[in-house]
Amino acid sequence: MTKIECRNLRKVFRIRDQSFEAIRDLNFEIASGELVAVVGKTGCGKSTTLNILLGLERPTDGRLAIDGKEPYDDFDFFRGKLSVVFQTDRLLPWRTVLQNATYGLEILRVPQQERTEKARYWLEKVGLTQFENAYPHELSGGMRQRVGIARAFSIGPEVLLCDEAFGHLDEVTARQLRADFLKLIRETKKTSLFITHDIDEALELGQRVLVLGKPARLLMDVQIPPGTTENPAKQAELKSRIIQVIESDGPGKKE
Amino acid sequence: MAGDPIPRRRTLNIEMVISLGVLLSSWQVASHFLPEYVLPGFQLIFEEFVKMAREGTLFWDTLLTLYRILRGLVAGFIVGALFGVIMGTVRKTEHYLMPAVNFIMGIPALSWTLIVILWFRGTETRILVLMLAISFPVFAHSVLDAVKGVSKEWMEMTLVFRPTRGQVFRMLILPSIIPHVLTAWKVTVGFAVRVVIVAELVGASTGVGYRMLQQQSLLNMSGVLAWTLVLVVSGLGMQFVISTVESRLLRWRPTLSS
Repeated sequence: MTKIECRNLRKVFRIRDQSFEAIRDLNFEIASGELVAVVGKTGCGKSTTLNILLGLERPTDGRLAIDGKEPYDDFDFFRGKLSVVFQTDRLLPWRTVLQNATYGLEILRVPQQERTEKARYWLEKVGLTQFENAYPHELSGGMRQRVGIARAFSIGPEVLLCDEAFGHLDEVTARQLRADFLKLIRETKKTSLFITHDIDEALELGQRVLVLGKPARLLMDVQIPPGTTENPAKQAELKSRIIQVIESDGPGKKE
Repeated sequence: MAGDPIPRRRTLNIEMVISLGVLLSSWQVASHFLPEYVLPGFQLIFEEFVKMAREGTLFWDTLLTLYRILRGLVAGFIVGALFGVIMGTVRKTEHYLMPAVNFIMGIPALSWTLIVILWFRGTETRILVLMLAISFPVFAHSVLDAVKGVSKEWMEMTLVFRPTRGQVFRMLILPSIIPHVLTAWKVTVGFAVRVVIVAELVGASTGVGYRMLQQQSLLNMSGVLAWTLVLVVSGLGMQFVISTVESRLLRWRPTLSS
């Protein structure tokens, strides 16, 4: 069943009489429960696509719908249905770890006891139980991002979006966090869209990888066969094909 | 060096003791050589305090002046915060309201004092309007800057959960602007003490300002100085209260030692 549908999406920004096209005729579909990675060059309009998905920006043309509804126009329909893990943790410094994890639940007016229980459950999943009373500035970058993950999962969203979520962490921390995150995604079977510029990360996380050109349009749509990440030769070959497609910025064939 | 402990801030440092000690001892020595109406010694100022306390003016007039300051600032804060929040959240209102706020802010406190005397009857109304007029533009500016400064990233993160307008205000904007609001209070309190004294000097028959004027007309320098000390201590006291509130409300902020 189609969960996310993107049809001829176009977004043009106007900055002081100059127009700049961020998305040009983007088309894709994502089925319910699918885990899709979106990869492309820096500044190719990935984040704009994410903002349209979140209902924070309106498309210039075309349609991007989740469950048949457009997030910008049907803004309130998506109450409690979407969650994001951003590139930076975006934790509120005046809230403790537990209070940050309950933030979304509080907005959704979940009763206090229930929201604390839910937040504690997710903090335990990300290994931060002992730190629930700490303030964000007392945590390391990796721990803060874990709180961001707990905050995103705690509301039990239908669609989980990630924007370069591990991009600013060191490789060792990012690898660990990626593995834990993937485990949580698989456990909860959420429809997930993972935006990244890191092709290895995309191959590691996605069951399917969408390769975007600049301005954002679909260059390649690859199904990742199970076991690809355990086979270095296969992964390297796939990676070089993706790089080739991005470099030539021409459409690759559909797998 | 790695083993050195971070120096802790002492509440009473030796430099401060020396600085104040030198000032006060020079005062006391000079008072022996100068006439009483120029430089009275500490014992005379102390006697004045005892007299003020016995008459009851020390307590009641100080309390009254503090009450006038607080009441005026609270009114100024409510109006200013309202202006600031409206300008910061409703599109284009800043273009209409800010010129008026700036115009009011440009009127000197002394002019306001004369204006309220001509416009209003009754000491309390006059002082309230005066305090309101001088403090609300400061609060409006600081609240507006604070609201504008609310992180776009936090706002986006919040909007993803689809909050109501009230929730955005209560859960994001309000906690974000508290540090700026407290700074505005600190600045305005010092200013308000000076203005209220002028207002009491010119148009009141109670309060510290009026008592100072009385002592001045009696050529009683010790009295003037005693009431001045009351003002200095009151100002410092109010700053202390705000700092205490600040350290409680902002305990989430990282400190240098942490």
